[in-house]
Amino acid sequence: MPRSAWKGPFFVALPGLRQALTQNIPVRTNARACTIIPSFVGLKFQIHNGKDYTPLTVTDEMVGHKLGEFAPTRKRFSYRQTKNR
Amino acid sequence: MLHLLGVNLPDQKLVQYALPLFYGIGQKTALKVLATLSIHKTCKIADLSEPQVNQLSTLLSDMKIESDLRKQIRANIMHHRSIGSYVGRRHAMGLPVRGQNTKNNAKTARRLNGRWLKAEKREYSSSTRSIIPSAESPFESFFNRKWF
Repeated sequence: MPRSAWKGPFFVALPGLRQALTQNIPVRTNARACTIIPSFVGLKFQIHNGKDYTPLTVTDEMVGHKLGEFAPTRKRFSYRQTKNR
Repeated sequence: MLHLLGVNLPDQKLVQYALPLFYGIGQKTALKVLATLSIHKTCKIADLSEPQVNQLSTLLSDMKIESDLRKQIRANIMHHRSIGSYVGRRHAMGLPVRGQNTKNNAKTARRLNGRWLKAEKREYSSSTRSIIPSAESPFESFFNRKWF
């Protein structure tokens, strides 16, 4: 069940936002649970996935989603049979 | 054999069990339709009178069923795919989307999950007044959600 509307969207005060708005520097953040607000559209983010920071440019269609949806946290499973048997 | 909105309804079937043959109508909505039109539950398709059939077809063309529904579902999934979210990725890989375990038991997802993203064939457009799903962009739906 999504967050109740009367509570307002969950978002976090991101420190790098002012620089991102003026000089177009990507915002580095660990706040994967932050909802994407209309004022974020057009900005570049670097979202933590546990290890690195995944780049993301926010478009109009991403508005109601959270930042973490665009930064996958697991490596793709690939079956590699080792030579030592 | 009654031909209604692109679907053949066999004559000897009860109306209650023939309506779920439409994509988007299940047993509950079928009973609701019967209640709205005051058709008794043991009525067969062959026993429906002409004005009843017309009422039925107007009622059905107002609901979102068949190709309209399929378009909406495909649009929703394509939205996830086009923004590059986790949900879109899972649909593309044909794996469970809602956080289920994949070590064992993902058979239904593996069978059914990629199908909306494959190239679709031309479908019969259901009604004359086909309802185009109003594409409200996520931007608009965010604003329209009435945050306090």
